[in-house]
Amino acid sequence: MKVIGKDVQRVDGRSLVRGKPVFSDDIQLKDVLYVKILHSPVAHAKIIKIDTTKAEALEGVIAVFTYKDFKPHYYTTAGQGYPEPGPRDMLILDSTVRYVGDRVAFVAAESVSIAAKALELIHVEYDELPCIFDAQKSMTAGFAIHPTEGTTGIHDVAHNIAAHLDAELGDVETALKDSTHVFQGTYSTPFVQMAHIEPHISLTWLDNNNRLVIRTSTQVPHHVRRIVAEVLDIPIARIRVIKPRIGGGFGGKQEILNEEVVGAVTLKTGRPARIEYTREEELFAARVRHPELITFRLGFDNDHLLTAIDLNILEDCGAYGPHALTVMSVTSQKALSMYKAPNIRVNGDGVYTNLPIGGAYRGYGAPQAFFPLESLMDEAAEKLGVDPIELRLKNVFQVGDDVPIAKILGEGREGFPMVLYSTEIAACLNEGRKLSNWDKLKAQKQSGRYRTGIGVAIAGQGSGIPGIDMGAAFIKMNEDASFNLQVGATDLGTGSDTALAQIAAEVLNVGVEKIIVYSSDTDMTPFDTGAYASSTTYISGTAVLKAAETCKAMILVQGKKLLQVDDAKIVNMDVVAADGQSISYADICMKSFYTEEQVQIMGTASHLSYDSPPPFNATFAEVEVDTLTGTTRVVKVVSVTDAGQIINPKMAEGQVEGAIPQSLGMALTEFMPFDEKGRFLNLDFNSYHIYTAQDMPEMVVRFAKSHEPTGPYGAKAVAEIPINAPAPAVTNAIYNAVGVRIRHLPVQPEELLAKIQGD
Amino acid sequence: MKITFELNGKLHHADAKAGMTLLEYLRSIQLYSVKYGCDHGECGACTVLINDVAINACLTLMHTVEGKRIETTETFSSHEELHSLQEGFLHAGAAQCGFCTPGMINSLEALDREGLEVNETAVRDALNGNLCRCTGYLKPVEAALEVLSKDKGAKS
Amino acid sequence: MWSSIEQIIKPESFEEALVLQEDSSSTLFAGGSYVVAKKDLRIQTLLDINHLLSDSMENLDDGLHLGSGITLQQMLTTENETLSKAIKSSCPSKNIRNQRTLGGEIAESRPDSDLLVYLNAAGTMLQLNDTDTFVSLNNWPGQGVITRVHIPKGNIKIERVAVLDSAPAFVIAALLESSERLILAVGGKSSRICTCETPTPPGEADIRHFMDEVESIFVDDHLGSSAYKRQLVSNLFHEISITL
Repeated sequence: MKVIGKDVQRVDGRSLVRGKPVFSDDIQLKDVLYVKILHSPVAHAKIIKIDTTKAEALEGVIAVFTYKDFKPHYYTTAGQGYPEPGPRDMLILDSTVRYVGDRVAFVAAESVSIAAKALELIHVEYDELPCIFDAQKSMTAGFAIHPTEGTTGIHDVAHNIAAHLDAELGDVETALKDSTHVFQGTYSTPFVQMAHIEPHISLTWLDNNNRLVIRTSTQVPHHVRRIVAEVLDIPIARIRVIKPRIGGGFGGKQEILNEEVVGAVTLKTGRPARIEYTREEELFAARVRHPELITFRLGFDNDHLLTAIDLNILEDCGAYGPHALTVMSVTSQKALSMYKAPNIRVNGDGVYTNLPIGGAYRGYGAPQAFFPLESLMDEAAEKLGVDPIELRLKNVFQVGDDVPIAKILGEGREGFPMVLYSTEIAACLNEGRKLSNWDKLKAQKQSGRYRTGIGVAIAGQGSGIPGIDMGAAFIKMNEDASFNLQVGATDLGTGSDTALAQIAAEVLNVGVEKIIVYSSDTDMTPFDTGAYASSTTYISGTAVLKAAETCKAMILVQGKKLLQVDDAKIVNMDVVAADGQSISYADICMKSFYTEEQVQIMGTASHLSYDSPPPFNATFAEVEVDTLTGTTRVVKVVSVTDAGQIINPKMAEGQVEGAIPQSLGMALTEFMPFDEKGRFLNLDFNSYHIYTAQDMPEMVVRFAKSHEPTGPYGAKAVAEIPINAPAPAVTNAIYNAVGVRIRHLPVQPEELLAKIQGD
Repeated sequence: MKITFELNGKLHHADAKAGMTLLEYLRSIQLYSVKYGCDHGECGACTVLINDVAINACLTLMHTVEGKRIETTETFSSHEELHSLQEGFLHAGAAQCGFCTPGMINSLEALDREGLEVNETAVRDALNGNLCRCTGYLKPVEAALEVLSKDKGAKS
Repeated sequence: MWSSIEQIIKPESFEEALVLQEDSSSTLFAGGSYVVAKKDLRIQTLLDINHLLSDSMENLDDGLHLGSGITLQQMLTTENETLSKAIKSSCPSKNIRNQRTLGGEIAESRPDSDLLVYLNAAGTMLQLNDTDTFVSLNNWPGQGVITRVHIPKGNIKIERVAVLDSAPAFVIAALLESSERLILAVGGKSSRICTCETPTPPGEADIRHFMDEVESIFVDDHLGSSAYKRQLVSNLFHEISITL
């Protein structure tokens, strides 16, 4: 292969290193209005009075909106396909607020300072209602956070259950009763945040034809278009969504967070409008990872093979339910598609609380699955007296295996049958074992203040949502044998523009520099569900491959016509006839535009798959626990991933290298505490600690040699898989270091110290 | 308030309100490489060079730049040529979303101008005020070491 | 935009600065890294005193003598590794260290500043308003403009507890041990820094009183209970060789 598997320089790299104005806010809009949102200071209340007269009277304030300005229409902000799998429980502005941060009103003014001042002049009287801050109390609270009237898709309004799922194959209870060994544990994962450095930002304006243009930092331009059309009650035809370069998303921008707000301002005033969240707003009024409380039970027989896996999930959705069902579905599906067991069962409830809203965060339920699963597997291995790597290798799904849970549990819908076509998890574990010095470190006997430990964890993910995620591509040829590639697929810094260009280039036998990529503009590019569920390489990439093949076939047809032969083939960038005549790509196109057999050489294709081949990862973490203070430092992380054929090694490495500190943060450093009134306390990067350059452990990143037959050139996904295993690898390492099992993240130094001293 | 300073090599006259920060001002004159990430000096996406030193523009009030030399990433390349750090970043794959990249390039350029030995500790220290959520800092550090150690050789 | 700022005044002397500072809507401005981050909307006037401050640093027999206008980054040229580490821990961002002044750091009185805890343990003396009198940092009531700082020579040991090197510490313990005296200083995510100075060897009552004070400055929070933090202080002091 000429360009697949090569470190091709990013097609947009030059603009990024030069600091070119390519991000959403890097434009000047004439007469723009600055929009700010008034957030609720209380966690649950009815607005009994809202008086905006003083705010409206402030000089420079152009418009103030409250719930009275909108006809109630329930929707969801989740960037998902239609019909959205979750509750429609949100109004653009509501007369009830349900968490500290909920929207109360929004203001459009001539400057940000004026808008901020106007917020203070809005007089609101709240009738406070009882609150739920503990997901374990939601179902029995005795009052409902949401109304029955108007909302749809809520599983059980009265009991605050936004979403529910359950599934069973075989008979888990009997199997567990009959198992030689049963292990059980209850675990929890916390609130954490995506923390992309570019905040949420959206700009809207009316173009010369009175269409609403939305220029926004989003992962889901087509969902933005559809949902904004619905909420603002204008035709989809009247909206154009443009996604410029994005400063990170990680799922946080798989959400229609504020686009409908600025859209409403532009439609009312006729003026461009801009809204940008402050860092503080990001940390309490955006989206978070759904915390989950999970109980796992694992049954083993005498041969240490799993007989049964049972899991019970309590998911904290926060005040509203975007992604409620689907995140929990992914937790269930991934937890049950790693290891073979003849009996499997899951029961999950996603409940409402008066806390920030769960959204989409890289991994999307899988980190919440693998922290408990890999912790319990570790415990089981120890109690069974088996090497933890051997126990895993014994029980993982093998190539050719049917993965039964996939059929019953899709993402919010029934799934599709799944057969494992590729897995190199064994190779990942074996390579990681060597690179991490596992055998030596595991056996180490420790004394002294600092104790080192090593831990391992494995994980899977998916490559797109089977039967749901669809992507499309247009490709057209130019006179110099360059090609315009237009894709709906969304590059959020992941490098997808480049990877897709590589795929097109490989098919067409041209250099990557001949592919000009334009992406994510709902007027100019075909549909794509967007950048989530690790769908871009696998789904959008295959659409590109098919479109490029169609285009290539047309080049051949044109070439034959121009040479007036029936028998010819493509050799590099020429069409060569059997009789030796040849014509170059460039000549073909030049003639096809201007002189003979005129036609635009092009190709279009869509792709949908009923397969979602899992990438796999094995992560080894070496930690150092300070037995004097209870704090833990990560020394080294070895991460080996099976993502099928790697399209661009440096880009794939980059994905892993960025995912690791996100997972370490969830385990050790990122805290989102809240007070007794539901107010979140860590509202800046000073208190919400993400890893800095100096904090980073040593990282060793490798990819197993692998080939997925259903993927473009053998590729699977790589974007989310590396975020799942580091956290359990760290807690397993803590156990190895000091003999303490951590079941709740983030690790609390006080608890760890107490348990160390308790020995 | 009128302030005069050198901006990217040229004399510049600004007229700004007393409470305006350099970040806002520079973006208002379309020097968009200077980014808004947190406005509190914690993320470093607004890092610029002031008299060869890396400073957060969001913490810099306009009156303090009177008579000083301000440089942003825009000045480090032309349509024909890239700065060695920018080439290095491209080559290493060190920019993913690219939002923190100009800030990092500026911090590293400041490090280079100090003229001291450049090792991994010095590079990580120079980048410690530039938060990145995409890269885990690995490739930016590799790129910086590759370029700045080379530069030292060339300069001496 | 710090929208409340109406004017910036450059006082011609410290006396003038002190008079102007009496207005609660004005505040002193040196490096600016703290005040510009906060953007307190009650402030309308900034008193820029940068031109009145010195950024000199001299390492003399009795310790370091610094102008309060010296930046934290400039201070790193000292050969004192413990002090350098404390500076970097209190401000992990080099870009902010390039801007933040020693005087500003002291005036901010941040209990989780490793540098400030170090300075407390070192028995640091402050010159105020460019006059001849020096006052002990431990006893400084917070008024006046710090113009010079004297960090006496001494062997300081300092330890911190945090979830990351770059994260603010939730417990910091520092100790100066000399043949004549012992100074202990404790800070972190606490209401203030508490210090204790005793002659060597320390009296039991003094230490007990100090540890009671230590317990009172910490509260229960997501990083741990106040009892845990007190235990950390004990553990850390024990580690740096003093038993409490």
